Amino acid sequence: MKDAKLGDAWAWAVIYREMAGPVTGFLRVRGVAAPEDAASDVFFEIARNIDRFSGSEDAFRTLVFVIAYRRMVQDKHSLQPSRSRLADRALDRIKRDVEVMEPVPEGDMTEEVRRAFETLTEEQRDVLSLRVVGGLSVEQTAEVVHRDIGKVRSLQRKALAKVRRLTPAGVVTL
Amino acid sequence: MRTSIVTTGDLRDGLADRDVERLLAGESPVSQDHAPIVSLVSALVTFGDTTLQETLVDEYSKLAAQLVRESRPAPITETTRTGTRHYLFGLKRRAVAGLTALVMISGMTGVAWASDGAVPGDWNYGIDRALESFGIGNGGAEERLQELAQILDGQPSDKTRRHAPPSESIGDPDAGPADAAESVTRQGSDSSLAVRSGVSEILRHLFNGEEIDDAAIAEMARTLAGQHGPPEDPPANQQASAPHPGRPSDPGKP
Repeated sequence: MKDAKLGDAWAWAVIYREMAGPVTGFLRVRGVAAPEDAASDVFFEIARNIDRFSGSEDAFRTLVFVIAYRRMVQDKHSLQPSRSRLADRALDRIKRDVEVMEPVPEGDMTEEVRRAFETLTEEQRDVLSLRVVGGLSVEQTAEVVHRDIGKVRSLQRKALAKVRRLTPAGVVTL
Repeated sequence: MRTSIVTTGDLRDGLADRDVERLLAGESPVSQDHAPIVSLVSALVTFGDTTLQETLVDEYSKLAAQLVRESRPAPITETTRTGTRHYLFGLKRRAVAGLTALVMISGMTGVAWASDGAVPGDWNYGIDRALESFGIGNGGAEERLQELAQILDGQPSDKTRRHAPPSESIGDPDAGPADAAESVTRQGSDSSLAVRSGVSEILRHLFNGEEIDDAAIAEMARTLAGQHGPPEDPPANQQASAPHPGRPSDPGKP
């Protein structure tokens, strides 16, 4: 972290490898358009504000997802993310230079599972995405979504119970 | 018609927190009922899995490092001299402002303190009364009496001294009534000379140092009134423009 604050590119490569996957995955699961670009926005915003951060690795991970969560909310409300001119120019250059992008595997989310996920409330989906894809703890998730820990536990419990009821094994028949 | 409800799973929503944590971590289901949950969690993990391109990792890392360097404030050591000069200049400016404020406050406090003991006629008596109207040094009636006592004790104010006649012109204090009698005779017009002569004579009888003869004084007053009759009431406009008691009367007016 100290090297990252000094502007060491190697330190930032380590951070990017560690965080880019979960952040991009979270943004994709939550339906953000162009999740890779959104994840790069998150990454650059962290770089711009790294001087203000002081804390543990867990706190840093929480901060990353706080910014990612805010970016997701911006996307849902069709708000333009804040991005510096430098980041804009760099992104354009990267997209121009890297002509062939490897297709991102979208995973095996069957229609059945997708429908089950869509029946959940927004808050329940946020919590499950942060916990399963982002790899956050209950405490970290509570901080990201601005809820207390008890509420987060309740949300995830109800979400799983609903999924269990909606799948064929638990269908209620008359 | 009888309706029967057949379920294949546990309808209870309650899941222990321990079971929830195990399911979210993708561990094996506790029971067959939890299989749908395991399927969802597995699908989310797979759907969110992202393969990073090394080219992007390299580019983004360089860019992030550049952003950090550009966002970082300039080191203090590079601007030590300028910073020191600015600091000293700011210090001097603050000191001057503070000193000015101190002098102003001290001056105002001093004037207020000095004005508190002012008596009528002093240059700062107006300040004293003005401050009292704000409740500062307001001694009320007691202060007014003290001011009066100070004047009567022979501590005339500057203004009193300025308007007083020179000491050598005052003369003998015992000659005051005689001087007053002469003054009454001297001032005024010719038409009122008889009246003023009568008044002068009465004053001389009053202050001649002998025993006062009330009957003689009354006779003199009657004689004076009989010569000139009762005083007529002045017209309304003259009442309104009656001379101020402190001002000398206009010559020619009785």
